[in-house]
Amino acid sequence: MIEPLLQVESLSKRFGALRAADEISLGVAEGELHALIGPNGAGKTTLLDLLCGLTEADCGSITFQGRSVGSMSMEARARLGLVRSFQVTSVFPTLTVEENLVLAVMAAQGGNFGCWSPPLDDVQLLQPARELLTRVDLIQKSALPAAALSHGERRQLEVGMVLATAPRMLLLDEPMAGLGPGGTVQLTRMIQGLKGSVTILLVEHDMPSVFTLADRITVLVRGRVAATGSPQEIRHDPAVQEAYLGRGDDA
Amino acid sequence: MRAFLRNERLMLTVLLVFALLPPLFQLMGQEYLLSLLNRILIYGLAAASLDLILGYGGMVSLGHAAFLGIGAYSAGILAFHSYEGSAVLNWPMGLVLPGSESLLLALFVAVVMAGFFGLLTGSISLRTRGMHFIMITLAFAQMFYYLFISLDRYGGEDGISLFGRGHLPGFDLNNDFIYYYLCLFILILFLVLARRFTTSRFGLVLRGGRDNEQRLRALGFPVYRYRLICYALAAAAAGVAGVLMAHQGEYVSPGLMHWTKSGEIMVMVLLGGSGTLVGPLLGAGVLLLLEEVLAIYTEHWMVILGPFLILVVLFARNGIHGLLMKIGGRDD
Amino acid sequence: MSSVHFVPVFLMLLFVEQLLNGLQLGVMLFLMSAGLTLVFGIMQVVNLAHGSFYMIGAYVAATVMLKSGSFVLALAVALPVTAAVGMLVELTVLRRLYERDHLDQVLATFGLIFFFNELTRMIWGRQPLFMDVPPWLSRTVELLPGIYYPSYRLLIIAVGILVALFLYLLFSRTRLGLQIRAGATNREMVAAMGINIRVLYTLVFGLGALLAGLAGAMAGPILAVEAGMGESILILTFVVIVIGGIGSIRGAFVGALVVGMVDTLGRAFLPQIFRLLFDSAAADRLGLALASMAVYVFMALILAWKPRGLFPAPGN
Repeated sequence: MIEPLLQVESLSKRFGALRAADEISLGVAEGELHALIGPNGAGKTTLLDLLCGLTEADCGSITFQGRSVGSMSMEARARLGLVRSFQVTSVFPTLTVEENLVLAVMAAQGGNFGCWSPPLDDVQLLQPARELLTRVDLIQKSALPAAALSHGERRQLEVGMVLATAPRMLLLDEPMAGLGPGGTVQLTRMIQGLKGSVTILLVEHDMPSVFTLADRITVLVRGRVAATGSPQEIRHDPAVQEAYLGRGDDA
Repeated sequence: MRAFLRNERLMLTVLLVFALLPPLFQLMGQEYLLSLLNRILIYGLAAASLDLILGYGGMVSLGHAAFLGIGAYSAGILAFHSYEGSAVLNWPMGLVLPGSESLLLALFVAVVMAGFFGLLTGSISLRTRGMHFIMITLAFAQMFYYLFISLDRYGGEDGISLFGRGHLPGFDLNNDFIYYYLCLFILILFLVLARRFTTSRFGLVLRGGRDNEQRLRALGFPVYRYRLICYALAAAAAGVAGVLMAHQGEYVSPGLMHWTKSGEIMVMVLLGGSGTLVGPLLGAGVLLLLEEVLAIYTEHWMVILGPFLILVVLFARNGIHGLLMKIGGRDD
Repeated sequence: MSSVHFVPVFLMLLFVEQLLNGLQLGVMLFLMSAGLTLVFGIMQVVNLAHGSFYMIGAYVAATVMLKSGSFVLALAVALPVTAAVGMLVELTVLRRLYERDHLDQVLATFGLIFFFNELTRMIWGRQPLFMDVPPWLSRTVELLPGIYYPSYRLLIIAVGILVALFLYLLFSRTRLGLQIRAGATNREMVAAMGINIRVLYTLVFGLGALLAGLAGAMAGPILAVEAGMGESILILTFVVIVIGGIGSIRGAFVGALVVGMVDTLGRAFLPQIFRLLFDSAAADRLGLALASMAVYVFMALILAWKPRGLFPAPGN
């Protein structure tokens, strides 16, 4: 069996008496879209915090590309290609969509004190930027200022900017939160398009999109892994249905 | 992209007007207007340089007049020593800078001095944010103001009077026409360079920092360095405007550095529309013309100008440039 | 023999007198900066027109004093008038600027300065007004043997300290003070507590204007009352606030006293010190130049060391 890109072993984190993460183990294979679901307070966000390096685990190990990253800083993990996109979208509102991405590509390429040639005429910047725009479904909007984008489109842009740093694995934290039905469909389509080219760990509440997108799903309940499997297996797992789906979210 | 083109067109139109007005004034026999137009031009240059900091860099500096003053005094002090026949600097090891009325030398010294002090004060000011930045830039400008007031040798509060406009080989600068077109040439040169600068990689990073400093840092850009370089370059450009101003009015005084002068230049930028380069030119034109016209009707014109500024802030947020773009937008 | 003793004693007397002058300037600056730092801290507004309230206070007090001859009556009229002008300005202009960026606030309040300066010129003319020290305060007091000080300036110092005490009690002991302090750290929380934030803002602004008016009215007999008098003290007030930390009354108090001392002592002694160290007239000029720049250099040093001032209020 091939070693997974990300391997988590018995990861635990306590906040006082609360076991936010309790002996969590899971593996995400290269190219896979792995969804993480669970009722509120199940510890999904805590797990992402632990994975990206925002908080440090009490015990357990995180292995990324065969290297132990558990004690690395967030920046160091990002440099290895383990990158988190936050719930709060953060773009450059008065710059155009294209300029936003060009800036991100510039950051990845370096050498940016040039005062003479316009970056928007530079194929080396423009081509990757345009490719990314296509990947995040925003090529039609490239001339608009980012402020004119809808909520969901800004998320797409944000993901595009994260992709510009060429991550091996994306940690997406509830990208659908706060979006209307239209936005959700659009963003689902975009993530669908990313599948295969980048490994994704997706935390999401919106069940239809999770079941459309995920190759495998891990269910967290009260800080523990309740089940892991294909969407089909999860849908029919009696324990999961009782603990989570049975509440009528996805009847 | 279309907005950019329209902006470009507007700038060409404005510069064309600047180029064509002087002969028109002469035809109408209204030569005195030329000196007003020349002042507008020079203030426009100063305001456009502030626009680099304010509009593109998002740094609210209330001390830009200091660099104007440093430029003006560079010209004034050089000329003063030339009249006196003494040296500006007389350091050991043959380091002697004699007085001079050369315009080019004055421009060179002004760019170096204003750029240097921009770098120096900027390196401290840019460690702060928001209101602190506004006030520390203000305080630095006041510092220069008081410094020059205390320089009795150079006229203290009264400043330095120049005899004539200095020398430039091949040109008679005392001819108002020639001096005007020289200023226009320098302004155009600045605008071309500034246009390149703001659309370059550097400019894009700068504008990114104006929008969202946090995100830019997260991308790994050293925001401070970009801002500091921009601040110093804008200071140097203001120094050039200062030299031109000194020679145009044939007079240099600490009043040029007073904080209300910084405020006035800032008003020009906002009135015209910040982040556009051409807006500040329009702003300088409108403000100086307004002063001139209101002064005809009442000596208390400031009592009208004040509320006018407030109304502009409240209701015309993108300044004259924004209004023109809106009108232009309907045509398209 | 006697001259050997005379010099140090003379210097000490001079020093004590300058110390008191510094204290008096510091107290004035505190009156100016207490209100302004609250406006900065709570409403997040850059208000360049705060000096105008100082000027209005001075003009109104001078006018009442010239007409009636009573200093107490002058204060009694000047304070409510400046508070009212302040609240009017808040209601008509400042209120619309709370959500705007600092640039807009600078521009609009710069317009207010133009307006008020010219308005006073229209009402009172271009000639400065001169306001006399009230007769019952025109004596000097012997504080220590050999140290005489004008009783009017002592009154200013006393008033300043009383106001500081009053503000301290207001903020630490009363409900209103608690709400204002809460507003400085967390606007949303105050709104959530069900406090009418708009009324609170107007009141705070009025209080700030009133204190500035008090400073102006008291400065009347010391300075010439003229249009534009607010701006010179305004810049020093900014220096105080930035040194003290925006939004902090305690910072304003410490900053005001420090700036008052640095400025006064610098002007009094720096030229002398330079004259002792070097001997030429150039040194004298250098001393003078440095003295007038002293507070700004001091501020730059403080900010290079602590970019948010000495007592930064949380949340700013």
